[in-house]
Amino acid sequence: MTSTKKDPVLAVLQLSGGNDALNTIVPYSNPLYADNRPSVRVSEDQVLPINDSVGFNPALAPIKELYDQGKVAIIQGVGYPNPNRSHFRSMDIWHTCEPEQVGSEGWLGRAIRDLDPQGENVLTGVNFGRGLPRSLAAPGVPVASVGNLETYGVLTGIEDDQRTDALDIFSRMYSPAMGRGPVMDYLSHTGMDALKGADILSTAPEKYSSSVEYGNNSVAQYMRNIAQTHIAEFGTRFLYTTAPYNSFDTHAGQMVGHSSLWREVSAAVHDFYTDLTENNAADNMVLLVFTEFGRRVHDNGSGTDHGSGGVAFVIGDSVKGGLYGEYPSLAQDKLLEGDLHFNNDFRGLYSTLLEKWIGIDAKSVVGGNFEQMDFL
Amino acid sequence: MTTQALGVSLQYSHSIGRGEFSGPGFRNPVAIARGEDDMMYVVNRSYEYRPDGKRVTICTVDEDYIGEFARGVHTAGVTDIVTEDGSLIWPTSVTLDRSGNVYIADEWLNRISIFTKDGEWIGKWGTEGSADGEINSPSGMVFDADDNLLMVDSKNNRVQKFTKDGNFISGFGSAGAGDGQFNLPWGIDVDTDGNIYVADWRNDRIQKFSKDGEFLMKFGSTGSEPGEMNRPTGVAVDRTGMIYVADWGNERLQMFDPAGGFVTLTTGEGTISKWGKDKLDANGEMWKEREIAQGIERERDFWGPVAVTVDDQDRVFVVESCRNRIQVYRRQEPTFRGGGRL
Amino acid sequence: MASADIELMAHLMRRAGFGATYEELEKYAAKGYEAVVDELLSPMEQPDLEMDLLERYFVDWKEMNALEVNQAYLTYRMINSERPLQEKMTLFWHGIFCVGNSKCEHGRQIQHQLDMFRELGMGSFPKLLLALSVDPAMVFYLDNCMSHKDAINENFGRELLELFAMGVGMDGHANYTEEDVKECARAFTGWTIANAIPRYPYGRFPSQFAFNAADHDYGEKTFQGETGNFNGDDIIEIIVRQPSAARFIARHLYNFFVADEPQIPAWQGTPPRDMAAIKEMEDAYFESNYDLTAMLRVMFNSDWFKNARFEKVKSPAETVAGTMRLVKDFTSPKPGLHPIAMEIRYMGQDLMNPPTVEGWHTGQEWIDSGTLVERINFTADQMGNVTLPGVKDIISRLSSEGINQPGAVVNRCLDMLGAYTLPEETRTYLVDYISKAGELHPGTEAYGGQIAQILQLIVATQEYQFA
Repeated sequence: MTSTKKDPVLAVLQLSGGNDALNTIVPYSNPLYADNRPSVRVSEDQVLPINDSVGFNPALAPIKELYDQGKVAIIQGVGYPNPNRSHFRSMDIWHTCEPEQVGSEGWLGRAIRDLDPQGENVLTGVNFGRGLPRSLAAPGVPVASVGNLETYGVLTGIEDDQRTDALDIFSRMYSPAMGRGPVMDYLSHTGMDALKGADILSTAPEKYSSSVEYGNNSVAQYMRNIAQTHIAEFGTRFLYTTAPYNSFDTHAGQMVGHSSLWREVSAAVHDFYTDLTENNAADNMVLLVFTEFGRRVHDNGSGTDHGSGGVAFVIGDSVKGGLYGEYPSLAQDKLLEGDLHFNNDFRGLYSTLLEKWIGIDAKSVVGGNFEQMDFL
Repeated sequence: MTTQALGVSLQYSHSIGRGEFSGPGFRNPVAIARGEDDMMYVVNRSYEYRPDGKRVTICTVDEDYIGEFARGVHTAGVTDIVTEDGSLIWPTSVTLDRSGNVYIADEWLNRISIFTKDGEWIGKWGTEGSADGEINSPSGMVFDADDNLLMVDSKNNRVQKFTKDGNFISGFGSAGAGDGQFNLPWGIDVDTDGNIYVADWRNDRIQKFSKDGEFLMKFGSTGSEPGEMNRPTGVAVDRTGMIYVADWGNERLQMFDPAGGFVTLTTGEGTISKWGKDKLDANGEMWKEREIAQGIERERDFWGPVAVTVDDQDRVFVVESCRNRIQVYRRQEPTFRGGGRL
Repeated sequence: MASADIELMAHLMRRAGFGATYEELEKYAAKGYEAVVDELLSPMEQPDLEMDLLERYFVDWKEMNALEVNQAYLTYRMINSERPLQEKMTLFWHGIFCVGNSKCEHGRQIQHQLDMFRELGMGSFPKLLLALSVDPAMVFYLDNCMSHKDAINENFGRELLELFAMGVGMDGHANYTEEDVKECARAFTGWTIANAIPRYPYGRFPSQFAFNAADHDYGEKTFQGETGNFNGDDIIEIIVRQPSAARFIARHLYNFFVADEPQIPAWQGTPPRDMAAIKEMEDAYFESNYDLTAMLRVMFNSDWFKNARFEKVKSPAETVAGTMRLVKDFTSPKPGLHPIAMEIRYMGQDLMNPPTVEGWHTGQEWIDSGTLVERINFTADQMGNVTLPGVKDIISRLSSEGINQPGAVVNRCLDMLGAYTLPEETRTYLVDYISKAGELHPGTEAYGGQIAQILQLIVATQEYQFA
């Protein structure tokens, strides 16, 4: 493996289900906020102010701390034209950058192919969680999906004392052999790749030490895995994980649920940065936190339904912290069928990350030229 | 629609509910019990991958949300299921004892969980098996006048009577299609005289027994004509002896007289509930979409009417598992009698 | 080793169904090959699943709203259907006539479409195409509801020709022109869906097909060289008469049931692997007046089918359903089905949510380093679970046969999993492995563990990834 120590790395934390932007970065002094949120509102005295008009939900206090250090860019009103309020479709659009038709290739899959066209490093992209998000999918691009870093590998169900022998046989079975045809050759190659990837990844926990104690929830544990993999310097450029499936889909009971989700997420993000800093690995990491859409401006008595116009965060030592883009208007005549309008196309956000951070041409990855931002 | 026969009719009152995995709303509700002060307990089965939606909702007949209790558990790998006290996997029914404690049956765990009226867990019992006092897939449950629990022990094709602590008292029934036999029975109720009514699910009929389990009568047969049944799931008897049947496979509620004679039926008259209105107000464009939607009258229809209960004010509650809704009806006496009883 | 009959039957059941246990294979073999093919081709003579029972315990199946609920249901069907070919054909059409939850987001609507495939998927091709053209999920997925007489949307019109019935080209020539696409789309204007009831507060209602005469283009059209005031059904009637339609289905059937072919975008320029086989199916198509069962019968009874052993990479659905059938788990309702169904997604086949309208690419494209790990670990975990009835059956059978020699154990385990064979070298690794584990004493608990380990290693081989 070539020395890739200071190559820029992007981690992505996907908040699936549609995070309520209004109750994340709260327009607390806007009377329309109180009007529209009779039941699902963060009260003004709870808000952690950023300025006179908006502030953090108190559950984001750990992120506020990073914000105060200038490391957090808040991308307001992020979305795309003709918003789709289906989780699946909208997430697909964010994953594929194809708002018009159903696309199959993920933006990060394409980015990995750009960086490593021959697939020389099987760990250029690593996902934490079962199943590959479409953002990382592209034909011929190997991406490991790691359900559990501590146990990741082939034939994990075989008991320890037998497993070494079993893996030895596996590697012999999958060694290239003559005259078995192209499909078998492909399988051999893939099996050996899988074994190699697992072997390398399995060393990450051993190489890692830290005084940071992450929370006992899946976001925190996967953020820890991302830190471990990044610190281990396998040449991984994209790391990805997803908060539990649709957990941000707060149709009901939002006041309790949304706060507790954000307490977990923001603590995990804060721990992640403390961890990277302690391990001298923070300088080449940027973290993107995004969701497929924001939620309805008006609450439904107990929660909020699917909307548009969301909020995203970009966090890192290299990030110029601050508020980016305009906070969408809550005025009735400025809403789109009861939703916030978007002011920033997410493909501009992606382009900024790809060009100004990763250093590759964004146009072919996101499917066009989009206005970039100044947070990097 | 108000249907009438023999002078007695069912008058639609209102609907309760909307689809939610938590808070005000239901997710695949399967059972209901009425408590004091217009309180009701609704058991939500939800989907396997959304165990957060498995819960018991407490709300009022006027649709005030009070709270919820008893969470579902993740079932990734059935051998690894952690069944903490008070958790649910496949809840089937709910009933209240005289002091207002809430009993929930779970047909996978073969467990009865007991909660206070506020949802605090206070106990459990249940042993899987087929011997006396053992259970295999408990379905409907109801307390009798002596505050003993009558339980449909479904896969054992019998009804068993327990003390509220789970001590076996008696039982009756066996597998089959004859009188007093059952084929995977489901719902149960008792009348004011202590007679027992069982929804004999796969025999498409209701059977009536004395309080001692002696067969008294049966009614219903397979079909979709009035009075016929397709997998009846729930049965309820009001204080006048009128019998209500959740005719699940036929998507309707049927009403029978005390002798088992067909009186009337409804396929549903659901309207927008209070919580439903909140939901639409928050999604204003849907009000407009409703105006141009084709076939919106389908919204009135029952879909998955799985449980029925009737309270001492003759209000009939029908739980729809697929619409996440409860439709409330009222038994109406013929007005020419000046409100008097037949 | 297994007899030739058993080997052939294992092959048939893997392809025409989702595999079978050794006991089942013995029963099928006793019936005779052609009789079993007849049985597979007459699904309505076999009992369907008892939906009342399933909906009682899987309460959410009556509503069948969310994608994951539908996936659990479809997985259960694949594991338990006594009409395996019907279920396989449903999967076949689902992979061609794709609609996806990513756009439709209404599970039951998609399930209605799969029910339609169950009903019509082995019958008349024109009837199936017509049903597809009025299927609300399809009308919505390919935007035909957005196609108007004064502003056509070509999406459905194009895919009907390109991906559903003809293909871009064959034998080096194009099958249709851009003009055909436009004319086809014109003919389907007004084929739409009624305004839907919004999802709140009581959930979704099935959509209804509607023909909007006022939005239909009644003008003259020229399609495939024929001219007339065509409506959509006229177009279908013309399509099914084309040689390209016969070729299209024959190639798809061959790729799905016989041997992996190049993927569909390559078909115009790449001839079929076995043109004679394709021709036989094309002939059956025309001779039977476009009957799919006639094509299937020719295929299953042909030598080219019988000889095409292990020429296909198993799909994720085949991998999971096939494994569950072997271990005999989830044969009745119980919790824990959802995670099993999710394995199919993790292996790269998110059923009812295909990546594009082209469906899933098949063959070796199922495999990458991530999905290979998923399939090996899943199958090995199942096979290593000695409490599962099917695994117990295998152990007790080998035990009762008194098999205590390493070589014989490996051979018999290969039989039990469906008469697999391994290259000699690989087989030797397994024999050495079990030899190291000590003596084999049939009937003991240790023996069961040893058998299970061999099963685990077999399912991890390259060879086992093939059907």
